[in-house]
Amino acid sequence: MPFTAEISRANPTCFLFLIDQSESMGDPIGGGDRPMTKAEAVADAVNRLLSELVIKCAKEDGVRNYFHVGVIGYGKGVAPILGGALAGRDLVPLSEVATSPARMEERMRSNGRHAPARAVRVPTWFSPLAYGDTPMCAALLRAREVVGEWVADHPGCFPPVVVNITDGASTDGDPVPEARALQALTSADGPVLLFNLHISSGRTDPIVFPGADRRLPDEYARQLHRMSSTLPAQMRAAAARQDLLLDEGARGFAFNADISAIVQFLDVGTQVLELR
Amino acid sequence: MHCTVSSFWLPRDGSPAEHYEDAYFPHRTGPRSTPRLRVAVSDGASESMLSGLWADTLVRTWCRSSRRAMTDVMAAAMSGWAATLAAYRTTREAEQRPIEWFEQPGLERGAHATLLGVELVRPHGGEGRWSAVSLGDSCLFQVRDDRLVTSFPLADPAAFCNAPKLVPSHGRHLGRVVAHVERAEGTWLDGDVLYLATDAVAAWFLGSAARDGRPWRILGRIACDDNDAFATWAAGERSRGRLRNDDLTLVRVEPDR
Repeated sequence: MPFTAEISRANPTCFLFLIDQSESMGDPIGGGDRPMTKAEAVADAVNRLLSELVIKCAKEDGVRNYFHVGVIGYGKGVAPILGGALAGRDLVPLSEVATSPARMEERMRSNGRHAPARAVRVPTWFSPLAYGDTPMCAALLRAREVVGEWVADHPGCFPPVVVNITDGASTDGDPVPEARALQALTSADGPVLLFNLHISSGRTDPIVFPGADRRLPDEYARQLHRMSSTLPAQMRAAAARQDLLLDEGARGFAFNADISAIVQFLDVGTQVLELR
Repeated sequence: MHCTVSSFWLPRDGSPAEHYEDAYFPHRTGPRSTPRLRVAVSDGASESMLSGLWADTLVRTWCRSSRRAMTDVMAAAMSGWAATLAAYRTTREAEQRPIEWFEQPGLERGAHATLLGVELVRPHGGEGRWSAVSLGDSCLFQVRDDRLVTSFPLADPAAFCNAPKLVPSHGRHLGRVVAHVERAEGTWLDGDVLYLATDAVAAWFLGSAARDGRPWRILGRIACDDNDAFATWAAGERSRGRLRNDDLTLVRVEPDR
């Protein structure tokens, strides 16, 4: 049965994020508690996800390398965007992610509605950027190279998860063939998972994890839907815990996501089996 | 009351012994004579910090306590935990390894573990009695005349999930935690055997029994103190995919032997 491989330090898997850095990512996005651009919202959400992954895998003997992670930006060019000591690297073991944030920022956080806010140190690994076009085909090709090397080295792993976060159409051709080629890579446990998260400045209601494409508003949305893998059972179960009841054909796809939909999408799309 | 206690343990395959996060008590195995015996096993949650240490605190506190009320036992363990945590922080500072940003949230959330505690008594001239308390999916099995007569708190091999009830190391919701404690009691006869097992062994045991197997015949013949034989058995079952790759703990109690 696919998507059942144990994730352990001896058999880790990887998460690769592809982040659209085109100029329109500098436009504002709705749904948050303070005004921010799409690029800022995505950087915030992915940095926070990396931090949560590190915390989840932290034990008293250090951070366990259940995952390797990478973040590739595409706009002016296509390149890995983790900063600081991790600059230039495609995939990094989680223990190195833990010890090498680009910056530690002090923020005020509260543990509950009535708890007083207090200063906590929050790590960030990359900064928002909005400059250039949307070379999605080149980004998917880069992902195929990175993930292809990973599955060759880890043939028994839980299939790598690639999350493509974008706000617009590809400017370097039809991305569907590139997406198909990426999804054709497999480990013994199943095909590489490609999820597409489309974010929007508009006030339209987000469509999250649709099954069939009938409700989708246009050909662009249907194209991203076609490029998105079906969610494995454990991710549907994670969605159910957030009161999202999905059918078996639900895809890792969101359209017109606002800030809260981005956070929910990333949470569900990175839920895997129990770690060993 | 005379009885023989045997205990077996193993870390998950691929992990060193120091990463074993289950716990059991007592550690002294072999025959003993006592008016009252308390035994316990605990399974520390993989995704919390210091959960092995917390599991160990729980089993020791339960076994050494004379108290019956779980509220008292848990409160005692939790109050001891504050000192354990303070000592841990002091040691880290002394070793010039201050607590890192990614450890702080886990330490604040606290450690979590299951608990199964069993007490056996035989009043002078009376029948043997046992009572058990449980929070989570660690299980007690009682075998009599080659039959499984008690399975507590789970009896279905499909009932094991990835989110069992757990005892937290902080006392923020002690009342709610205690409300989830399950209790059972019964009698024991000479020749009965009681097994306490954490989830992976327990699921294997119930799966085998559900297929009309006699898992106790296999676990019953591993000699007291022969942890190597237990490890050999576990390796075989893991390689056949019948035993989940997890920390393993089994305590066998043979009263009046």
